[in-house]
Amino acid sequence: MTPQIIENGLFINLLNPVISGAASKAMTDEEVIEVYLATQNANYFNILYERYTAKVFGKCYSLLKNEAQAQDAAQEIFVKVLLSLSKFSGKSKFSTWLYSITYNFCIDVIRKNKKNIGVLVDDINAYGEVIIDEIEDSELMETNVIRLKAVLNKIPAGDKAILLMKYQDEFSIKEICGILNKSESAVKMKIKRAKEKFKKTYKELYIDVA
Amino acid sequence: MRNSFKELEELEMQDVSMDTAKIKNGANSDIGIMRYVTSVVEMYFPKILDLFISLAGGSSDSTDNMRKQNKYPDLN
Repeated sequence: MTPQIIENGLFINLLNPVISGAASKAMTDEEVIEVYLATQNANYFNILYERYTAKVFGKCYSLLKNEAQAQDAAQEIFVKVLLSLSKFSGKSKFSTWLYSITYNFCIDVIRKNKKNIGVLVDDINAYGEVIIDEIEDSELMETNVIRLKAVLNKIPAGDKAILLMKYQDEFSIKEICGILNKSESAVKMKIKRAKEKFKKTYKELYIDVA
Repeated sequence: MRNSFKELEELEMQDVSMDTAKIKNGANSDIGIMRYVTSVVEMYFPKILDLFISLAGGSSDSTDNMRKQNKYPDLN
């Protein structure tokens, strides 16, 4: 009898897996990984490529601001993911794990480039005392998209990355702690500082609004 | 609540012309090279190790095995 995995009512032939579009759409990322690890069939990893290549590339491009670099970075990130897929524990969503690798990789590239480093994760105390009222999340989230893009491109990459993690990917503080390997209080402070920089840069760019 | 960050993500994805197949093929090619190099190392590493042991004056596993085979020769 042909070995099969039965997942959520899906019968997956392990010896000759033919993945229909509908079947692949019905599978969650975690199920795809499970079957890929069991079969080592590249078709299953292709499903993950289809789902995430554009998003990973988009994040790389947004942080690195260079298409060729972003393409190389996306390629290397997928190689890393493929090689360490067996280490994926499933404690978090696959997308969270993938994006954490993406952010860390891009931050490393920026560090290596030594351009626009800003304060990535350290030197929180190096800031002077900045007295700015608490900035509401809604204030940032309701910013005009074109202006948002302009401001994000002006602030240091580390600040941009942490704001994208929090508002674009909606990572929890705990997840950001894991990605940056920092304590909760350090991450909260980093977010606060990034929001302050955002507001300051916004005011500089769009004086009429200040 | 409106989220401009999500809108920005969609906008940037539309703006950037990207060949996803190129990234996929590049990653697969890198993995292929790594697998090839690993298999070559796996195949030849023991032999290279044996060579160094022999050069250092020791006896490698393969020569030990030969000696063991000759220890009790078949006299028939």
